[in-house]
Amino acid sequence: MTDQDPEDIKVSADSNHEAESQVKSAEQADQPETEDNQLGDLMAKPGAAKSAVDLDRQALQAAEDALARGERVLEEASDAIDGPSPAPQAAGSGRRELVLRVLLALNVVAMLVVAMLPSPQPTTQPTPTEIQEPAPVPRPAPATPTMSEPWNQALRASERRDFKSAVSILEAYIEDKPRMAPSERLSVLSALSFYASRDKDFAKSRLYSQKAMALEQSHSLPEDLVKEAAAAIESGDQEALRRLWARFLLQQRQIPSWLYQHVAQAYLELGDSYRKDANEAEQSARDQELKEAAARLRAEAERRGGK
Amino acid sequence: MIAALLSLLTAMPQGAEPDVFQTRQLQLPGGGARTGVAADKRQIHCLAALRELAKAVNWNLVIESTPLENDLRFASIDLNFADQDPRMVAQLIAVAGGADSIFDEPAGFEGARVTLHVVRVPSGETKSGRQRLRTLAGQWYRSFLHDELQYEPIVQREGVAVRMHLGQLLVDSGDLESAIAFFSDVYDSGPNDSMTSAILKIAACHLDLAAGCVDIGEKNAHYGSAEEWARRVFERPSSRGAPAGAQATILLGRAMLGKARHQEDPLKVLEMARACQDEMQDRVIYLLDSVELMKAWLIAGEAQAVMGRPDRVYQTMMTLRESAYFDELGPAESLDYRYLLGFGALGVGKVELAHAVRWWLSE
Repeated sequence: MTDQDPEDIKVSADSNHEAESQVKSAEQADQPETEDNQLGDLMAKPGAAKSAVDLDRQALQAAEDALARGERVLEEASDAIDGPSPAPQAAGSGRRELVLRVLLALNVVAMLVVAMLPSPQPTTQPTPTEIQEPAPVPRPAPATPTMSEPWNQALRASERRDFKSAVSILEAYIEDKPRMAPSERLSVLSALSFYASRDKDFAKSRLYSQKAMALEQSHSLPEDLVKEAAAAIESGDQEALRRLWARFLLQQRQIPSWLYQHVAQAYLELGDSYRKDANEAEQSARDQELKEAAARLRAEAERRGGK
Repeated sequence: MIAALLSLLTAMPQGAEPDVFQTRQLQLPGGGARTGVAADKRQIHCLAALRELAKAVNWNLVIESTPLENDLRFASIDLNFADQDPRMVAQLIAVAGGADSIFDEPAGFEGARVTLHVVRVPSGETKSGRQRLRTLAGQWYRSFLHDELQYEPIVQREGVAVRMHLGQLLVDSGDLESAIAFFSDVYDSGPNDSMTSAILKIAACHLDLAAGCVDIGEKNAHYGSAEEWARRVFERPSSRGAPAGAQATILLGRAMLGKARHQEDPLKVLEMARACQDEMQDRVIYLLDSVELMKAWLIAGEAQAVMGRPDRVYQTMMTLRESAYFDELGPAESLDYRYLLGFGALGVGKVELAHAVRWWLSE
């Protein structure tokens, strides 16, 4: 289709040559002029207008020729398509269909067998759950630990622009899995917020967004707990200190190496905390006993003095 | 038909929800095994965590009260650990929820289970509450001294102090044998600021153990140990005249006197009492005038009484009376002083003074 006849090329080359000569003559005509009369060049000149019309006409002619050639090629192609179709191969088609049916049945049986197999038992070593950074813009397919079926369904629904169904699917999913890992829950809530906003249900979108934010903020990292424990020591809040160190020690596997020194510190300060409480209580009890003994002696002395 | 099968498949459960806690048997280096628990769970409340743990390790769970149950429900925690002692985990969860956990060992019949009681934090107002607080402190200190952490700088730095605290907690709880073990660790750990203090505490523990023994042989063994430990203080010349030296002198005197009193052979009693008297007289030279010095004189007086020498007792009590700290004697020491003064006065023929002391003692 892009091929050109030598004649057309010649015409085009001639026209280009003419155009070039026109431009050259115009440049030669421009050269003696000074800056003072440059504004006058903005107006069209009679000779230049004539040569431009010729160029347009030639270009139009070339385009018409090209269109005509294209139409011819299209007609040829159409003839080729509308030509006699290959004869249907009646022989052997029944056998092929039978084979296909058998294969389909075998496929279904294989699926059944796979489904009947026992699900893998959870290992004694729990797999560490990655803490996912919240994406600035929620995406329909966030990086979840496993691409579960509800996720895929919701994704397909969103591709069909059926955001209401996507929301329903994920809502059911989150309700069915109350023990969902926080990172996954965070992703689901973010996706729900996104789908709800696309469905123009902004109230629901805001609700899920708030839930996601609350979940994200409720998770205390070990370094936060260490900072809070330091604050509790400063304020002398022994009860808070004990709670914080206990929470810290319950997540030992996600304590980074640079914070590991605080494990020993946690044990030490837990011990110190209970010991101080015991000693203070012992001292208070002793003071109380002394006060009571003094009161008894005073009463005895008064009784004897009265006699 | 295929559609029906597929719908049946989708209706089938896709595997049970995994348990929060997983348990496994861990082989110990010296043989035997222990149960370790692992968990990886975010945002679980303490009540649910305790229930799941009890289920995982087959315990009964008893929560003290409904308000405590509610408090535990409101406290949320993250779990991420492996191969931990389930009892330690239960304690940590309880502490995170502002509570305490106590274990009831299973009864002696087959199928009996451990019962985990979750209770409020003990109150220091009661004696049992204070005892529980000491036990808890001891538990955490033991965790601090755990083998896995021994190379941590904080353990290297604070290990001696923690052992001393732990020993004292055990003394306060009455577990003297265990306390001696921790004080001995401090002594064995090489020169440190707490070494002399540890020696004195070991000697004191042996004296208390001797006082509680019924068996004479065992009693004397503890007195012997107390004497041995007290003498170690004098091996350090800097301790001789220091407060530690005064305390060691008193402990040494009590140990020697105790041993002398519990000899079957009267000659041996006499010999040991004399040794005690001589030791005290030699040691008090190094001591400054203080309450401790008076205590040393009292021990010397008791030794002289065992020797049957009231004249020396009277003399010793007269010396003691001259101390500027006489009025600072405690009730027990005052009583000892009165008794020994009366004994000495009677022996030297000062009957009026003896009667006066007798009246004084009856008050």
